[in-house]
Amino acid sequence: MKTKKMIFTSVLTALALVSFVIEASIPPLTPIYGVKLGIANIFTLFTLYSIGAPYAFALLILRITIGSIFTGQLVSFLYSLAGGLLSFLLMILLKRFFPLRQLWVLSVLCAVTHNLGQLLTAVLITQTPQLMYYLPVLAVSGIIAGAFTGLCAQLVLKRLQKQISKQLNT
Amino acid sequence: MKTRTWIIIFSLACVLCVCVWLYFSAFLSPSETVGIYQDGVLVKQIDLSSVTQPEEITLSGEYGDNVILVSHGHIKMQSADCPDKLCVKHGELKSSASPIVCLPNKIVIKFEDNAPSADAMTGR
Amino acid sequence: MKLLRLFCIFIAAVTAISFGGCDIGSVYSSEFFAMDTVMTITAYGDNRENAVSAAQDRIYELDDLLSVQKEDSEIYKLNREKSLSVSPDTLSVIKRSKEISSLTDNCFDITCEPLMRAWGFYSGLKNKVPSQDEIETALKGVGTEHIKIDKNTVTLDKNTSLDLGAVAKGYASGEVYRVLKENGVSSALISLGGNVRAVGSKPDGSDWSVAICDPDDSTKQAGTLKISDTAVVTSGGYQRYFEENGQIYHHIIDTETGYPANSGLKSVTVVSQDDTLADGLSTALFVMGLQNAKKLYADNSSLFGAVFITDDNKIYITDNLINNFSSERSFEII
Repeated sequence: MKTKKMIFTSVLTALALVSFVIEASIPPLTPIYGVKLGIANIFTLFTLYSIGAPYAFALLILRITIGSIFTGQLVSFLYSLAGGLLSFLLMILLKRFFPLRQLWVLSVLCAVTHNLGQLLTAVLITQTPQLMYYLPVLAVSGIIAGAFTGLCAQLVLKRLQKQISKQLNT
Repeated sequence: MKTRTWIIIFSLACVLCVCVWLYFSAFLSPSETVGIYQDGVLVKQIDLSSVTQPEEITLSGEYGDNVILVSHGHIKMQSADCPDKLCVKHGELKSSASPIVCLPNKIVIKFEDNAPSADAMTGR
Repeated sequence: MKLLRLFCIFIAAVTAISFGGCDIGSVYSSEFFAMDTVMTITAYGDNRENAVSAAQDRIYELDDLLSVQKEDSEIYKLNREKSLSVSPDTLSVIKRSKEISSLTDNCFDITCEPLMRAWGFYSGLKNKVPSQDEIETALKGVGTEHIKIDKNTVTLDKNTSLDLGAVAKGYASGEVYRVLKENGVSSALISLGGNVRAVGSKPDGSDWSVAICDPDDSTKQAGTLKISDTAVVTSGGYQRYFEENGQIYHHIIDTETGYPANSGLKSVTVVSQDDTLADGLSTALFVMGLQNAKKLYADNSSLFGAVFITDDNKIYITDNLINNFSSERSFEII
């Protein structure tokens, strides 16, 4: 049973990595750091709701570390990690208030927190508090991207959840 | 809470953010003086209105060189060795609300506040 | 309606109190003439009036000792008699001047009097470009080695005369600083004809802001320095000059050549805790030019900071002034 969960998580990690690399190779829409969809996040949410928090956490850390190596952007590792950890903390704290039906709300909250974490790291590293000007832009981008990834995860889970839990529990 | 409530909350938040952003962009009128910072330290200050000849400034960091192009009234990141090149895509520096940032090499280019009035003058 | 009236009264009361709060009476400012220039002392604190008048007396006293032109000054007598037992003040200025000369490789030299005379930079004389012969003659007495000091007796060589113009104001501002402090003033701004000295910070605790004059337009500023408890002195060729045959000759003479210094600088501003040093260095750095000044700074960055404005209107500042200097113009850090 545990093995199944682990195998399942690793498959999902691979998928998350692929989507991460694909997204990183698409030219960014805006020149502002952090404005992106974050498709890889669908898999974190998916794992959290279908398998469990420890597995989702493992997926997140693996995805950030290996993803940074794949895309050759080790600087972004720090930013991703800061944002990722902050939003994951919020995710497990608030999960019980949001049933599957409202997963997208949680996703929005996490995406906004994620961007905030990244921005704060950037302010610390560059020593430029003026970067906080970007907060409104990143907040809007977080709301939109979070709703998108949340809905994706939610719709997929709605169709697959029963089968997954059946598989995992046998 | 109902889904509809959340939708309303998020929409309001979006509207609010857009307003704040517009406020920043409108009221932080750009001066002509820009500062180039690396690692939070001012490297060079330039009055764009006094630049007559286009000039290239090269800054090196951990991730290679950044070339900044300065011309009359304009400043932009010409090229960068960092992987994502977001600073180059940023284009020209237009508003105080959106400084040009190169995170890998920790470079920030932004408008400076104008000099305040003085208590005394030296050298008159 | 009643509420509205109450509100108006409230607002009026608040305004009155907040205006009353800024006690305008706590500042005292005095403007006077000494050392051929206008001086202003602005002091805050309880004993401000007494302190400022004591400082003013001190300046008159120093002017009477150090002036090259006043006929009863010690320097005038020394220049005439070539040997004189001088007061501690005069002695100390001469000693400090020699120190600054050796620090700056003689780019600063108080034995420049014969040259200043040849170029006509004293009142009663006419500005003129001297002949090569005149300059050669004047140069004979130039050099700090022509000054001998034995206890409090100063002896000059036959052709040597002193002009303390490039340090006297600096020494005076240091003395004013000391007198004000002794009289219990902890916040004041002293301006001795462009030599600025801050005593402490402003009464509200913030830094004083001192503008650096734009060499091309004295009504404008080239930049601003935020300072506290520091002296700021600017030397520039634009401050005194004359024109002959379309050529401009300014008053800062390079004692090496005997001609006005031509080092590519329009002005040099020196920031230092030491008033006399700041004054002497501003002249010396102006004479030696940016490259040599850079070298001097590299070895003495704890002693002073400087702002340079070059002939092509570029501004350079030393790296210890990054947090103090601001300008609307471009500047570079050296």
